[in-house]
Formats: sequence, structure tokens, C-alpha cells
Amino acid sequence: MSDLGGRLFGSAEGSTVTLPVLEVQELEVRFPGRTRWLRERRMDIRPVAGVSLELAPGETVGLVGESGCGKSTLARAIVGLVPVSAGVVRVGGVDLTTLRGGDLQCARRSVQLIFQDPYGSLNPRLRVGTTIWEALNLRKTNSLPNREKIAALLFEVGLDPEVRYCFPHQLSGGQRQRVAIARALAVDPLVLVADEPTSALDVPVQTRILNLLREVQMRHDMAMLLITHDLHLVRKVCHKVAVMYLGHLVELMPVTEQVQPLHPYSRALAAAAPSLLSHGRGETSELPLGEVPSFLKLPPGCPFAPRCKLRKPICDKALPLLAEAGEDHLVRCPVTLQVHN
Amino acid sequence: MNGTIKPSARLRFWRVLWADRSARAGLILVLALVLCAVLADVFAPMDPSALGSAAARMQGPSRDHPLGTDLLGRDVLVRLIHASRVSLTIGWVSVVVAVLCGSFIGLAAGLGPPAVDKILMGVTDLFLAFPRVFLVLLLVSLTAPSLLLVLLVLGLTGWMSVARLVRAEVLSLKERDYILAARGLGISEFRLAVRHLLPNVLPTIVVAATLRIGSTILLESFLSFLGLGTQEPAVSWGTMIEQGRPFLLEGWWLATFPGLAITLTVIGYNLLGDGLREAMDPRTVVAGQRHARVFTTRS
Amino acid sequence: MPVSSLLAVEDLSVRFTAGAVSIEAVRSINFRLAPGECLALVGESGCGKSVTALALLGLLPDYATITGKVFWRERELNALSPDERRAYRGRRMAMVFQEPASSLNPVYTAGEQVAEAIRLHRRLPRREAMAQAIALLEEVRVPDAAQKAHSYPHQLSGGMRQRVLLAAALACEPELLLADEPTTALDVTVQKQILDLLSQLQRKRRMAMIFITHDLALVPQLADRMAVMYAGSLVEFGPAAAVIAAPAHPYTRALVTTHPELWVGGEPLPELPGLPPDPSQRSEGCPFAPRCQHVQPVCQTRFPPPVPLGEGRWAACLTSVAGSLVRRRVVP
Repeated sequence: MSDLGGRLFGSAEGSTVTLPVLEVQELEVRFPGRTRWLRERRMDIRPVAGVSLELAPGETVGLVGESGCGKSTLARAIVGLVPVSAGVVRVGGVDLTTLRGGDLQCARRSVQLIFQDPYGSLNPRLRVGTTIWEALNLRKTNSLPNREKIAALLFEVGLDPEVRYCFPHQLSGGQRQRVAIARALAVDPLVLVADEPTSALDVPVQTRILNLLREVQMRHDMAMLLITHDLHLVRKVCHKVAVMYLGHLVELMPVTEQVQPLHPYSRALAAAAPSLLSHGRGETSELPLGEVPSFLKLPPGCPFAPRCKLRKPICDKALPLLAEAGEDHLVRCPVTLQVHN
Repeated sequence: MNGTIKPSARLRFWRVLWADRSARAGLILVLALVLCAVLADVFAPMDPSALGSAAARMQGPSRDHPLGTDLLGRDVLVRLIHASRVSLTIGWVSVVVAVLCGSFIGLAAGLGPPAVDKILMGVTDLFLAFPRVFLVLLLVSLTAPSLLLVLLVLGLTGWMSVARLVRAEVLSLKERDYILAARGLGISEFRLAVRHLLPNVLPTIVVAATLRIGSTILLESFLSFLGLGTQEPAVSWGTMIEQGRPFLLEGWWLATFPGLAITLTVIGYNLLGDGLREAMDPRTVVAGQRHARVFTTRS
Repeated sequence: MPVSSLLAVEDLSVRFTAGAVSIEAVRSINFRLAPGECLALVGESGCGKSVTALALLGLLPDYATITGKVFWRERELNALSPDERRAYRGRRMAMVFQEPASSLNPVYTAGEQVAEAIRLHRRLPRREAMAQAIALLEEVRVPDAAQKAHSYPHQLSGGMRQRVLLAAALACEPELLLADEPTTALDVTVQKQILDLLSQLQRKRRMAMIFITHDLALVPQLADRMAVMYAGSLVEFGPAAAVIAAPAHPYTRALVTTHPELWVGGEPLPELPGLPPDPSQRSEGCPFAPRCQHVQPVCQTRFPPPVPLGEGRWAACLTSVAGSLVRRRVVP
């Protein structure tokens, strides 16, 4: 049982190829439809329907999408908290989906999840210090966790070490989130998955937590998958962004000035994002029609077709494939690609 | 700007319990009852079965006999104090048995695979389908009544609702973020159950247990009243009521005082149970306690 | 000479008292609202903006003490009896809240709830009220309004529920709509749809609106003027675009400069350290003093009055900082 918490490949200085630290291939999470006696079988629900992603060490990838698109389920599937029906999740070269028992417990530490709700992610009956201690204790090092280590971790996330005596309900939302980050760091992960880590916090606190995440990520050379609905954040903090809709990845693109989103849904998201710089009142024409359908009534073909203004007959026939639209830029929309090329 | 917090959780627990007036009353009552039972020989060194002289029979409350005497001249107060021992023993022990069984089953059902859950809950429902009182009566009347039998029967027929309660609590807690986070850290399932789930289920169990003690004592009294519970020479409040029943008018003190004792006991345990639930929740705030929420964070 | 205003708030303060504990949630609010105008009330959670809205409607609980005056077209609302006050709610002013899920009664259909709002202020037979309810639902762009009117809240999505609430609020043609974070719980695209709808409704019905939010980015597309609240008092006021372009009060400036949209990628994002003060411990001086970059000794001792900055703007700052900041643009 190797200690997968440590570095599996050293940072390859001098080599031109960096192996991805997180590889997700055709990941699928499926909840079978219930069969009722004498009634038609309900469709299977696939909150994650064949998603593939890669993260290099030190890279930040944003994952955006609206509620119900499956991004939280994807995050939990990557971390192993939701059973995976198909596909592979490789962290540091090790496939987590094939492990069980003690091996799995060890391997889990290489990818940690920061939850959205700071109020629920800490055990209300344990003091902060105990929570951190427990996480530190899981590391296979020769020395036992002690006060200094706990204090050092708390200090690293910007908290007064005295906080270790507090119960979670005595701390503010931002402070709780810092504790959650400290707990994640305690097991020395390779990848951090942050599921909307700042949505439940006030705006000024959001900035501070994001800065902390970036600082910590850079210091420990971790990769980060940042799930958010805030596109401005993505533009400033992420190297790449993936857009999800109804369980499918519809676009994967690098975040640069030159590259514009191509998929109609991505463009809708971008157009809908509220902007400080918008002048006066105006309505957007890029908004999709209607609202997100439920998973139980998925259309055949492109999941976005019913709401898409560029809809063509070919869109309803079969699920379009992800195709290249540029360097590192994948889009799941043949109609847009045709126009683009 | 830095605040310090006194780290003692135990002290806080007692402070919260004491601060709530009804919990305080419950605590005092229960303590008094327990003391009474434990130190029965100290408070009433006389033999509860000691027969009094013919002249001392069926006397109302007086200076010599504060709560009166019964048909055989025995002092009611002495009997009351000694009876508390029996009632409380039965109450506590059978509740502990019931709660242990029930919690274990509830935990297993909540945490285990769905098949186990279905089987366990099926069995629980089966038992629940029988009215408890009749079940108890049936079991007790099949064999010669004894203290041990009563204890066992009460314990083994009381676990069902605890099991359901615990299972419900476990199911709801299982999906909380902090449980998922702990699992994500790679903690073993066993440790997860013991270290994270159990402490959060414990308040529910404790409250359920405390509330049951009152009703179990009531049930025991009922059994004794029917003659199926404690047998002579042991005395319990139920037997005292049974003996006093024919004399409700002429000898009102015979049944009234044991009845009052039972009432006070049940009330005391109920109040204590509610107070315990508040005290065990780390979120309950005691008025006047300052929380040092302001810790500087580096920017 | 004050312009004929729809709503004039003078020195409004709200204090909550429970036993020994007394909290001043709102302190000395002053502003005027013209008919058809949209005012954005911006601030962090806990700054008192929701309490202000509830105070305007007269919906605060008994243990709240309200001082100051609220005028509706020259008529003082505080002086009215509760029954008279109730007549203003719904007919003149209506409110839409943040959580659409809990604002709707789960046992009545959408149509019934809108119809009830209609019948509260007008005597109409049930069938007519329902017909009008359906018309309202169409106005708020609920697709298949006639069908959706017979749906229960749990069958509707968040955006749809918010529209139903809007329809209910508009039922009696209010002149003022108070919207307390109406889109916080909604997705981005749905949020845009609702905001567009609000904008359109406001123009069509010539309705005034007070839009409460913590998200600065929502302000430019809706609001004519904006008011920034901090720890219970207003710190800045003025035309929305101007305030955002060149915020004068240090708090507003911090809010704008730390907004993700203005960050320069690559560098650490600028931060506003500290936390808002505890409402139960309000001090004598400026509430923002502990966190202010430009703090001076006078800030700790005196509560800053509003200082006019020209062009309909003012900022509550004792130093000359506001005067100089108003000339420095933040947003290009």
C-alpha cells in the first residue's frame, strides 16, 4: 500500500512533456430508472454522461454550468464520493475507480474536495483542532501530528492558531472555509476540487478565499478544478474552462483574450453574466429559449437543441461529438463549427 | 483584536443545563430520586416489611408516620423510599437494554447495505405491530414473574422505536457534507461511524433514553399493579398502589403517595431529557457567554 | 425645492430590542425616490438593507422600534393606523423576496395565489380574478400561462416561481416595487431573463423600483441611482453609472475595485480585509473606520454626515478623501 499522498512523479524540470496529474476519461454516473409495476420504465438519469478532462500540475481548470448540469456530481465522482458507472479517474497515474478498501482510502488523499457550503462541511461536534488533527493523522509520516503542525496549517490558511479550540459554529463563513482548506491540505493532495467554494460567502470574503486558494495551489504545486457559475472569475483565475450542460461537456477552451466561446450555450452564459461595465439597460438576444429541461425528459441528439436558436435538423438526430475548433479548443456543435471554419 | 476561548466543553455542558429552568428542575428531581434509591438504607434504615402493632394500622399521616401506615401497620414513607429502588432499577436497566439493542439495530440498518436495512426494519415493524403492553403481559404470564424477568421483558420490547429513531437520524446524517469530507480524506468506514456519526446521533439517543425511563417506570408500575411485576417481600410503587386501591376513600394516603412519586419521576425525567438535548448541542448559547468570534486573519 | 417625490425617507432608524439586548439595525437613512425611478440599494449581508425595505412596508415585528419619517407623496406613513397602512401595501407598494420556494404557499396553485392577490384589493368574482391572474402570468412571460396557472409551486422551476411572485406583486398595479435580492437563488441565464423582465415591466408600467442586492454587477443594467449601505447606514448615494465609474466613499471603492470583473489576471486579487462590525456593538465614529485605508483620528469619534459632491452625489465621509476619490475613475 504505497503512500499516494506523496509525489508520484517529481516535477519534470527540463522535460517538455508534463504528465497530467488528473485524468478523467469518459466518466459516467448513471442512476437507473425505477421500474414500476405495469408502468413504463423510467429513463436512466445520467448526471455525468461521458466527460473527459485533464489537469496538469499547477493548472487551474474552471468548470461552469447552471444548476442541474451535473458539475457537482462530476466533482463528487472524481473524489470518489459518488459511485462511477463507467470511465476512469486517474490521479497521479493511479485509477481510483478500480481501487477498494484500504488502497482506496490511501489513494483518496491525493484528490480533495472543498465543499460549497461552509456551514455543513465541518463536523459541528468536533473542535477545529480535532478536525485538523484527524486529517493530519492520516498522513503516513514518521512523526505524530502535534500542536505545532496544526498551528502551522492554520497559520498557512490565514487563521489565528487559537481557532483550534473553537467549534465550527463560532466561526464566520469565510473562516470555516479556511478550515476546510486546511483540512484538505493536511493530507497533501495533488489535486484540489473546489465546488463553488465562495458562492455562499459575501463578496469581499470571496476575494480573500480565492486568493488563499491560489496561494496554496501555487505553493504546493497542486492542480485545481474550480467549479463556479461566475464567468468573470474564470477569466481571471483559470487556464482552461469546461462548460457542462445536462451531463455533457459542450465546450473545452483555453482562457485567453483571443479565444471566444463558440458553443451557443457558452455564448449564452457569457452574454447573461452581469457586468459592471455594461452601460444602461439593454436586453440580450443571445439568451436561450425557455429553461433547463429535467433529466427525465432528455431529447435525443444534442441536449441543448430544444433551446438553441441555431437549431438544425441534424442536431436532433444524434449526440454531436466533441470536435476541435482550434488549439486545445473542443466544441460539441457541428453547426457552429461549420460557420467557424 | 484577538479573543481567547475557554476550551472546556464539559463546563459549558453543565452551564447550559443549569441555565434552563425546567432542565434544572428535572435535574434536581432526578438526582433526588436517584439519591433516594441509592441511599434508601440511610434515609430509611427500617425494614419496609416490618409489621406494626395492631394499633398502628391504617393510620393517616401523623408525626410518627409522616405518610401514614398501611393495612399491616407498615410505614408508608419507608416503603415508598425502598420501593423507589426497585422502580428506578427496573427503569434504568431495562431502558439501557432497550436503547443498546435499538441503537445497534438502528445503526446497522442506517449504515448497512439496503438488504440489511430492509430485513432489520421488517423485523422491527413486526415487533412494533404487537401492542407492547399485551406483549409484556403475555411474556410475563407465561412464566413465574420475577424482577429479572420483568427487566428483560421490558428491555426486549422497548427497542423498536429507538431503532427507528436512530436509523432515521443516521440516514439523514449520512449525506451531510462533513461526513462526505471525512470519507474523502480516506477515513475507514468504521472510524467514520464511530468518530463522526455516533457523536452526532448520541443526543437523539440520550434524549430518547431519558424519555423512556419515565414511561418504563410507568409500565412497571402497571405490571405490579396487575400483580405480575414485583412480588412480596420486594415492594414497588405499583404494588403499593395495588394494595391501596380498595381503600381509596378510607385510606387515601396508601395509593396517593406512590402515585405522586411516579408522577414526579416521569416529569423529572422528561424535563431532564429535553434539557440534555439542548446541552449536548454545541450550538446552544448561554446568555452572557461571549463568543470570541473575532480572530484576525492574515490578508 | 424638493422635486415631487413618490417616496421620501427622513432619518429612518430601526432598533430591535429583546430584553437586555438592543441592536440598531438601521441608522439614519435619508433618500428620495421619484415616480418611475429605479434605485439600487447595495450592501453586504447583514448591512440592514432588507430591514429598511421591511420598514418601508411596515412589515417589521413588534420588537422593532422605528424612528424617523417615511412620506408617500407628502403623506406620512408612520402616522397611519395599521389598517390604513395595510391598504398601502399591495396597492401602492409591493415586495418580491429572495427565496421563491418559500414565498409561495405549497398547497395552492400558482394561479390561485395570484388571483388571491388580486382579490385582496379589488372585489372580483373568482372566475374573473383567475382570468386576470392568467393575463398577469402572461405579462411576466410565463410560457403556457393558462396551463401553468393550475400548477403547484413544486412543479415549477425557480425562475418560474419568481415570475409567479412578480405577477402576484403586480396584481394591484403598485407604484413602487421593492425587490429584495430577487435573483440571488437563480441561475445566470434565468437571472438575466428576470432582470430584463423587471426592467421592461418598470418602463411599461412607469413603476418605481427599489432593487436590493449585494452584487454590484446587477446595478448598471437596472438602476438609475444607487445607494450603498454599510453597517446600517448609507455611505454613498448618486447616479448608478457615476458611482460605479468613480466611487467616492472608501467602502464603495473597495467593493468596486475588488470585483472579479476588474481584476488583473495573474496578480493576487485586491482584498478588503476585516469584517463588518457586530451589530450589537456600534461605535460612535464611522462604522467603516477599522477597515478604512484613509482613516484619520476624527473618524473614530464622529459619525460622518453626508457630504455633497455635486451632480446629485454625496458620500458619508469626514475626511476630504471622498472629494478626491470622486475624481478618480476606476472603471474605464
